[in-house]
Amino acid sequence: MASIGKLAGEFGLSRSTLLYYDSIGLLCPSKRSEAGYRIYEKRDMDRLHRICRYREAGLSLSDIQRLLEERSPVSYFATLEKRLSDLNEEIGSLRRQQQVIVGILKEDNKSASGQVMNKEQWIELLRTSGLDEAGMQRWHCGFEKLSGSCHHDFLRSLGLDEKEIQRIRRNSR
Amino acid sequence: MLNKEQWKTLLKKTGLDTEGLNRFHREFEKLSGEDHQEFLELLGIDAEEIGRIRDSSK
Repeated sequence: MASIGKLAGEFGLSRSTLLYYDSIGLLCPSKRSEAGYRIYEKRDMDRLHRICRYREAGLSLSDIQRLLEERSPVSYFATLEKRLSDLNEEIGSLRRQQQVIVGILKEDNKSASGQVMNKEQWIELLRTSGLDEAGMQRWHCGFEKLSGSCHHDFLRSLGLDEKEIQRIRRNSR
Repeated sequence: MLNKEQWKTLLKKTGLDTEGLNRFHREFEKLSGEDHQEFLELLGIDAEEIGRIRDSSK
């Protein structure tokens, strides 16, 4: 047996929550003291324990009421499964929002830097593909011969500054 | 931007043989699949072929 204050303390709830549960008929104490105070018995505590679990699952108070009174196992499970599918939908929607943000951040980063790769990454890429220093020089020369302006634009896209681009292009002629 | 054939010719002339070009794609894919995709798009390669190139670069 417990008073409202003791029960509230045990379950980490406020007194007003328990009063509210009583007012909507979700959890009514089995007994009253002679002076009219609420007295919660073991079965009330068991009921409150179930209420708290369902609350943790995010179920609404009206759903919880229905679950506690439900005599048909089919409807009982249907209510829980409905909550589960609602949660899955919410998670899906959150995930989509997350992906949109990641996409926006990536686009913004790209357009801010305006480049696919940087110089170091490109050099490393050519090196691991099998080109040595002389090979890279041949690459610049070939590029310059094919199209100086494309060579220029490409170096620019790697983030090289104008001075360095001019130097490279001069040495590639 | 150069087109696909020009790039291929350029890299070949530079000294990369077929295996070197394959390595180039593999390394590019490893570095960043997304950048690889963007690069191939810039060369004007269609989506289907890009998919094929990237798949064989994994």
